[in-house]
Amino acid sequence: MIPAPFRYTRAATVDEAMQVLQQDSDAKVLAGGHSLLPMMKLRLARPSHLVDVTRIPELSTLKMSSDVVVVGAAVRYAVLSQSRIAEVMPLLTEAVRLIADPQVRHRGTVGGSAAHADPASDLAAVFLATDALFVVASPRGIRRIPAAEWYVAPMVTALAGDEMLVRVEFPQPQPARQTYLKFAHPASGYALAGVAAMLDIQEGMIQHVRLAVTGAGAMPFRARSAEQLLAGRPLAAVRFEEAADAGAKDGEYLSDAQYSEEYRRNLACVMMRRALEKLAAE
Amino acid sequence: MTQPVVGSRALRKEDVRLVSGRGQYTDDIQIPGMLFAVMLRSPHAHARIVHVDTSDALRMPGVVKIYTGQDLKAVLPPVPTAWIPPDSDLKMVEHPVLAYERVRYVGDGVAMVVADSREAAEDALEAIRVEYEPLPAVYDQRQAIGEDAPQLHEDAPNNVALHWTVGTETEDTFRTAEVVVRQSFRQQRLIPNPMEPRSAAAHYNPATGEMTVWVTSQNPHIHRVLMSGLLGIPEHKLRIVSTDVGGGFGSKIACYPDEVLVAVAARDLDRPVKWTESRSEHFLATTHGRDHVDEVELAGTKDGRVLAVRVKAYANMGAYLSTAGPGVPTILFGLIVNGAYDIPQASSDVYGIFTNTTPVDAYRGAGRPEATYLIERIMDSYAAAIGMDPVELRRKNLIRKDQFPYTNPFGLSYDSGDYHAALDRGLAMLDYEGIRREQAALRSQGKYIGVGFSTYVEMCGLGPSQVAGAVGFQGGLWESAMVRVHPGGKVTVFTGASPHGQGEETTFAQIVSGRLGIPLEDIEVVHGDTHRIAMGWGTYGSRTTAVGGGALALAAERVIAKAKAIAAHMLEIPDEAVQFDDGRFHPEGRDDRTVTFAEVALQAYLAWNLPSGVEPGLEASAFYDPTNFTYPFGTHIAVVSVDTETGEVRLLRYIAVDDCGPAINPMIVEGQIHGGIVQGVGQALYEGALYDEDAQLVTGSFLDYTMPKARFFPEIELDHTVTPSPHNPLGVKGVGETGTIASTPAVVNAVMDALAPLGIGDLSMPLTPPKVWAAIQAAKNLKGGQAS
Ligand SMILES: Cc1cc2nc3c(=O)[nH]c(=O)nc-3n(C[C@H](O)[C@H](O)[C@H](O)COP(=O)(O)OP(=O)(O)OC[C@H]3O[C@@H](n4cnc5c(N)ncnc54)[C@H](O)[C@@H]3O)c2cc1C
Repeated sequence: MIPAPFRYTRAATVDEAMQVLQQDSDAKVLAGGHSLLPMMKLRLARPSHLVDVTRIPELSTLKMSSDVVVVGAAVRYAVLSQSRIAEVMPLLTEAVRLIADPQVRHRGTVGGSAAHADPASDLAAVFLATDALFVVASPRGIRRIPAAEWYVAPMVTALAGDEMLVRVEFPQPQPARQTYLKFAHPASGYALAGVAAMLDIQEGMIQHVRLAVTGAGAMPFRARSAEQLLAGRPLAAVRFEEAADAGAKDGEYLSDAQYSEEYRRNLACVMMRRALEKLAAE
Repeated sequence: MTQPVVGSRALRKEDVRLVSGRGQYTDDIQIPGMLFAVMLRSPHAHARIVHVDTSDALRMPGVVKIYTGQDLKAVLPPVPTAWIPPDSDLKMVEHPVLAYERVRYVGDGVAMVVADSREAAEDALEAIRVEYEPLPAVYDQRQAIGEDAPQLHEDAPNNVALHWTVGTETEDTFRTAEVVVRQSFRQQRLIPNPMEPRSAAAHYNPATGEMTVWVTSQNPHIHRVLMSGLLGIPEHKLRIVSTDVGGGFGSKIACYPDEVLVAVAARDLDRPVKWTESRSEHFLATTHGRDHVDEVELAGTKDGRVLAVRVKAYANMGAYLSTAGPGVPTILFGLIVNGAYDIPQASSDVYGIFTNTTPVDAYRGAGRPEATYLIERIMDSYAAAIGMDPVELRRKNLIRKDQFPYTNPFGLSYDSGDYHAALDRGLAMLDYEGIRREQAALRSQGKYIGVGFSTYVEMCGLGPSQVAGAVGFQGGLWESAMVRVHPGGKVTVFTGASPHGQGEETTFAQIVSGRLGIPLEDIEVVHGDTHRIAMGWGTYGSRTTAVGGGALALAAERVIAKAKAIAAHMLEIPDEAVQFDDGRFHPEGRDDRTVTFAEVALQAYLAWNLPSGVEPGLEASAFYDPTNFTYPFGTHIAVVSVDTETGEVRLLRYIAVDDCGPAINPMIVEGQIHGGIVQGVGQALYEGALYDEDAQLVTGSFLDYTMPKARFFPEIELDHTVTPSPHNPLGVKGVGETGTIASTPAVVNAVMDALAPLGIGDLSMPLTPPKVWAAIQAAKNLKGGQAS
């Protein structure tokens, strides 16, 4: 119920935050706190020092241009869902609106979701489907990590201990038809299967298919087999069920006390098919 | 007053305080110098305690004292149970306040740290080193009575806590019946989760010897009885306060070790001490509900007449006997397994079994949901077996209006009812034929919807006391009320019932307002404080309005009788000639001369001119013992759809026609029914504690344990029939538990109805998406296999 003792610093700049991270290897970045604090209260996490990054102006950026959408790491879900980004990337705002409840959405941040790397995070599917780039700062400078390399293991990212996430870049344009469908865990509300799907249909042909799945698998994944089965094929000739089936095989699934491996795979498959059907019908 | 106040939808008086954050819950108690306690709980389901080393923890900053089981076993008696069903061979095993030799479930208390702050106490908790020697553990009750099962208590061989049988002879009927249906039902274990976790705060005054304990209790006077014995503090020196309690659902009936420990520390350290459980602790260390396996048999004719029903029940008691635990699977369950049906023969054979799990006690409905579930489910199976419509079958077997009072095979006397009227009303709301047509049309498109019924009755309004004694409840079941009129004509009402969210500060004020003819705002209802209320038995078993309200009506009548005598004297007319209405006394048939209730009250206290023989003052109390239980009933109907691809069940419609007699406040009644239904549907579709091989709870938080949520529900469609109970002066029947009792089987019956064409006969609760999906897959494979 009560975290172990810790220090707290509110950083004003990225440099200041990085300094703390460098000085204390047990320090951790604090964003919305909605994943970190519950773990600290259960004493499953016991950082010695929290660096609050939510007041760093740079981390609250929201920018749109013809070739990129930039979302600062500390942008809160609620801010994002009401922003004009819905016009260019409805997928992102649709997904964000399905995260938890208003309280969580008013605290939780895009960067926190990325860095926490919960395998059922809704945004994971969006990051993977859009080939987002994670812009990371460290004393060694700035580097960009592609989404495909970001998720290393459940709750583990490619971020080094002294690095912090500054912003996420979504290359533009993305396919025009976009959707995020979620089958929520009835207890937690997290995704048991969340599917980010995008495609274009040009002269009856399916193009630029992007499908990513979160929640169902041990790790969020891109369903490339499904994408390959569909891309460049005439809409009239494809069977979405077959594609979804193939796509579901790209994931690895684990059983827990309530949700078997088979069930999770089935959900991934069903939700992918439904997302594709929805996009095709638009 | 134009609108009668009894029967009106008056807004809840208590809500001003509760929804504006001004309630005073136990955890809100702040006393200068207060210390905080936290409990070290066993991480093992079963282990020998080899050694507890508190030396490091004691050196931590802010730590005042650490108590262990070894320290306390000589000075504190074990926690008792308060329900000893007769002829049940109940094994009253020792339940120490802190385990000293063996821990028997994950969450069993091992030590208590008392410190300056909660933070310091939690830090110190981590520094206590306990050496355990793990023992094999068992969480399933049928395994626990099997061969080679780990044994929990030396004086309970084979882990049998009790064995109790009741009912009529049934053997001949089963041997000769045309149809016998057998089915085994699993009542999964539920975790109550009221919004407010448990909490206790204690303050001891060594100068007066007075101990005050604020505690989250549904029955502070029962707490006083039990804690007085445990602490050795006489009742007149022991004050229990439970004024604002944020829900209980049965989990705050029990007297737990924690609250006793807090009081022990407060006395020992001469400092106030407070403890509040975390939600994680609640999952482990607050009593759970249900957890039965019920083997049921029904005997009937081919044309749908039920002849006999019998059940063999295996009830999980958990590791120790909780306060009311033994009464739940016996008295509250076994006596009503015939449900609302006229079944000539019935019997119950109940085993209560110890396992390495959290103790089980009452949970909303307590025993009656289990009974209702088995009869309502097996009625559907019987209907299927003889090819009869489930509604027709119910209609044929429901107790008829002209059979009341109806004596069931266990000797219970059902008070009053028109069960068929409630069924007909529900069917009309549903459009039964329309739904069946829609169902057939959808099935041809490969879509599955189902409709399920539950025509329930429950016994509640727990009382009278004679029955309490006969069934082994170690207390009375009457209730007290006192109506105190102040000189200015305003009223304070004291009740021995202990509402904790149900709204009786409003409904009780309505009862008094209706009788005394004074406005609701002039009436204050006091409850939950043993120093302000002489005695009472609390709130559970849907008894508060039937029994506590009955007491209140009597007390109010006594006040009126005295006020009438004073008014007659003031009006200079004989007592019999006084008429009292709308808060005014006047000569019968005339209202040119009147005295108001407030004028009479003032006269009663001035006492300048009272009739001879009348004492000053205006207050009256009543100790009311009802003549019998009450039996609310009704028809609940669920319509569901099943997504065969995901296994997800959706509630499309929910119809409830309930009869709880005349409603004092229909809005509050509806609120109780809504909440009850949601909780019952929670059992049907969502909730369920799961343990792993080592008897570790795997559903230990809201991440894994599914509470029902508002978004899972359609608008609930309600209606009522009104059949007064002859068993109490208000004619009311309990309504706090009906929703929970009725809804679980209605929803499961609906899901089974939806899945029937796939050949799926039964599924155990909760009907979660993966379970339903797996059943559909298995059925498909089976069909596929047969086809090839
Ligand atoms: C009740 C509840 C329900 C939820 N339901 C959902 C849901 O349905 N779907 C969903 O996707 N999520 C859900 N969440 C999680 C929510 O989205 C979290 O808020 C989010 O995952 C973490 O974001 P945060 O800003 O709160 O991060 P924090 O909790 O502050 O941090 C999480 C982790 O990320 C690190 N971190 C944060 N920012 C940075 C940064 N800029 N650089 C480096 N490291 C950083 C922290 O050090 C920490 O390790 C839920 C949470 C709660 C409490």
